[in-house]
Amino acid sequence: MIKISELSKVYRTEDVETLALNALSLEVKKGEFISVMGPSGCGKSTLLNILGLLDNPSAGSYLFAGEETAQLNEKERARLRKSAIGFVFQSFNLIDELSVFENIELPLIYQKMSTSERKHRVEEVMQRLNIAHRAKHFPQQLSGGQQQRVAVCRAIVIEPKLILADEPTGNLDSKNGEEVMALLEQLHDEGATVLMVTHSPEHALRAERVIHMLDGQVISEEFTSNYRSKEMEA
Amino acid sequence: MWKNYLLSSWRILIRQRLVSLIHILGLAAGLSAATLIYLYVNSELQYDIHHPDAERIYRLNSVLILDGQTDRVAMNSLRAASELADQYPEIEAFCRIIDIGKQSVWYGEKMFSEDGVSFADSTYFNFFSYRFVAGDSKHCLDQPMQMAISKEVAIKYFGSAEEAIGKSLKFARKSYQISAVFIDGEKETQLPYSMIISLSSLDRRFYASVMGDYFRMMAFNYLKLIPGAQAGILSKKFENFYTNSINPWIEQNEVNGSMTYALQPLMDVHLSNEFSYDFPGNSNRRYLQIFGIVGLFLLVVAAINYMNLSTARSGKRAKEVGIRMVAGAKRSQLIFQFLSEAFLHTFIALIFALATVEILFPYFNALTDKHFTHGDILQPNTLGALLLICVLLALIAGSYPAFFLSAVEPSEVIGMKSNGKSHLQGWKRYLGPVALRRVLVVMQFAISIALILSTIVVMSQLDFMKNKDLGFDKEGVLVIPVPGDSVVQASLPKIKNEFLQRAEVDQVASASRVPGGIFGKLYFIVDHATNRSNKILGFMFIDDAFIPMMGLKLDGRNFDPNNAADAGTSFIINQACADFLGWEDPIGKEMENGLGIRGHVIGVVQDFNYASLHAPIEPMVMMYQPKNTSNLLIKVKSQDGFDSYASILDQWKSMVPNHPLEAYFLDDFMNRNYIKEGKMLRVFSYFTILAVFISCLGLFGLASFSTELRTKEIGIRKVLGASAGNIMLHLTKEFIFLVLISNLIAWPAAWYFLQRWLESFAFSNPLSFGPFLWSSLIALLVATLTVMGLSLKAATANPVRALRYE
Repeated sequence: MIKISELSKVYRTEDVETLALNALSLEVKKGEFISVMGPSGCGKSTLLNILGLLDNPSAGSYLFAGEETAQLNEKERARLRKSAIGFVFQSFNLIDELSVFENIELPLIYQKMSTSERKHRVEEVMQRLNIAHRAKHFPQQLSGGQQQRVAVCRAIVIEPKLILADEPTGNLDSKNGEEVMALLEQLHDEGATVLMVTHSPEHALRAERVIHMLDGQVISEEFTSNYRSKEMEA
Repeated sequence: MWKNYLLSSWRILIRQRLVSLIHILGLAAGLSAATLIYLYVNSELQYDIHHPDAERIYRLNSVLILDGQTDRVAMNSLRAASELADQYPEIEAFCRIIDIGKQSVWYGEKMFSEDGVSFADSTYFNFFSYRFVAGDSKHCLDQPMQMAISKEVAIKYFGSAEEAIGKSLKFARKSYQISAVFIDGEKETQLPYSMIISLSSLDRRFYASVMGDYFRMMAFNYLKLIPGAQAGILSKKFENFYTNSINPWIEQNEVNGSMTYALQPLMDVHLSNEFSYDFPGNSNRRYLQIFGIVGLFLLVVAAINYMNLSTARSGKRAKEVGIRMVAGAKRSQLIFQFLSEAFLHTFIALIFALATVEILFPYFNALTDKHFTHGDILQPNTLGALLLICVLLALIAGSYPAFFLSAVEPSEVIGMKSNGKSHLQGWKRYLGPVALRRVLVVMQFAISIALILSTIVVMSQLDFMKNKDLGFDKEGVLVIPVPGDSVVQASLPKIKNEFLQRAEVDQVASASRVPGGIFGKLYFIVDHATNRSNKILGFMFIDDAFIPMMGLKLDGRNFDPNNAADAGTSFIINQACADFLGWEDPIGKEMENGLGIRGHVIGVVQDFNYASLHAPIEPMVMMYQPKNTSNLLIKVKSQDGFDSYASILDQWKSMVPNHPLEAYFLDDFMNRNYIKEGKMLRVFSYFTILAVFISCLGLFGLASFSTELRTKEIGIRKVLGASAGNIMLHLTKEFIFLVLISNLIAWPAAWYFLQRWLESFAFSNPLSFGPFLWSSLIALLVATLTVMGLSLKAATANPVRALRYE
């Protein structure tokens, strides 16, 4: 699914040069559930941005589903991103002016899907994640857990190859956080490839593999008790 | 996707009510001004375009050159058009119009004073299109003593248009039979005639005499060219006519000069001030251009407002943009979304603007002497123009926010809190909201300051023109126009005497023209030391009381009623005439006028502004004619005597019962010359207030947003000891500095255009520093007041709440 080789990312401002990722290499197999941990500033979010095709690396190679993506322009990245990658963010990132249904529907609109098919897909996903009864509500009318559930719906409505979650439980209490983790586990069980950044060791261990980062590099990996052997996808 | 954009835009509009209101009000203010200005300018440009062959009709003006002096005159002789039509096949038809102005018109016992009376060729209604409600439209001026009248006149005298046909109206001792009734005033036209009499009604001998004179400028001549004829080529061909017809006449009559003709397109006449003795209702193309520019300025100010507020709030929208991009939106789709918002705001603003325009119509119509209604807005070309303006406004106003906001890098915004800060780094910061916001505020206030400055200068010039010492005494002079009726004219000396017997009357005088009116010009032959020369000079006929009544300073002597020779052989000239003729010592110099009166100069009056201050003081010759005069001037001893004036008018009515009374005060009459400037001042004032209002709306919105963003900073400053005054100064100084910078742009631009405008007046106040200072102070005061309320509220808020909020 994902193969990163010697990936580096440098941020340059007028005065400062920051090496966010330092010749990092990583492989993620199809259907894996990976969590990434590390202190603030270790490069987790940068890694996630590059994996999610939101940003380009400064050097190195990034093969996504067999396609080299390292030097694609924004238009090409968007093309790949919108059909293959679903995002779940710490701060939910729902659009306040759109209802639950409309927020979930948004990626499908940009894929120019027909109205009837969009309706079908959104309703299906809402039923699956048990949020259909809130379809006409707006984000500010929902609890944190419900908002994150809507965000997960939006992430999976495009049937992505990869789900990226950036501290999905960071703004939630333990109960709601547990609900979201259960959702991600359910998606994983259904075959989704999930990569999650988290500060919580407890949540990290819900994945199959935990990667530790420091100063832009992977310093260790461990397999958890949830690990299942996978065939490598080309 | 459309539905998603519009839904999102609509909901944002509802949620952010204050910002949306400021957006819409600003756009609505700009659009309402633009609508009114468009209606006015369009109306002025529509004059005479409705005539079926308008593009083939030209007015034949005259260009007279006499002894080096050039006069461009809107009128022509009676023979010009008919002779040209005979000689040049390019001329399909001609129409001559003799404007005889105001007449006392009788039907039985009914009598009214009618303005707009003229004689015209039978081709008049072939040239100029009117809708007829009674009578024969095709042949109504074919026969002598026929007359076509307007429906309004018909109803006044006869009760209905149909009743008028076949009846007669009488004026100047002649009766004319009504052959047709037309509707006047439906379309804009330069022709102000409500009563048109067949030209063939003129006295045969009179007609024959004037037809022999190329220099008797008494008629408007119109030519209709055949299809395909080019006016420029035809004008060149007139050289033959000058050579074969006019020049021999000039030589034969010993005129030292030349005459040529200038063809002026019919549709250009109304906006032209190029020719003298033109229609008084003519507009001025330059003022139209000024209004057009003001309208454009107001739209620019409204668009700037929109851009400014949108980009100021870009930080809040950046997150939404990032989410949409992550969800798969392309940049073009985001641009489209933001433009859709701009269109939604603009079209809602259009509705508000049209409602505002409807409310303002009565005031605007009074200002412009028009009769606009909502029907004018619904005309296809007006609606089309408004829609085009809206589309352009939406595109311009929405483009910068659309392109700027869609340039977000998703990775830069998705993880961020929405704190309104720019998402741009490096050199891109300079394209960002902060820098651009400042530039836009400066531009808005530069336009506002320029408009305030212009208003002050126009007001000052108007005040100057009304109050300038004109070199004569115009206060408290009552003017009574004397009817041309020979009976009244003959009894004028008796009437004057009776008024002089009244205890309250100080002086009574008479004159063919009064200051402030249009003065005629006459051809003079002037003696010099070694030769004689021909000159065209202004002239007026006066009596011996005129100069003392006006308080004119005179060298030499006045006309003497006991000196019979004065009536035939004496001239009094003004200093400008003496200078023009090169006479250092004019008294005794010989001259002869075009009426055959030869005499010598007996006196020189110091120059006085007898005409509008638009024009320099021109040479003037006064001749003595105590009888057969057009105006009686009466001055009472006490200026407070309104009862005196009323009583004088009652006496006049008893002495002249058969003519309607028209009287006015001389100073009011002179101020009439400045009506256009007065209207321009009022229009400028209204639009200046509007521009300042829009700018302040924008400033309010920006200040409101800026204060909101700096809540934490204000809280910290207060905790550290800042007073409310410190905070207010801190919050307002940025905006005040920008307004001060605006002056650097406004002053030079305004100086350039105002200087040129003032140069169009022969007499004006020089442009001083005062108006510049005042305009800046006003702008500064308004800006300070706008942001002060917000900064006061922020400065007095509890700092703990601010910090807890963060």
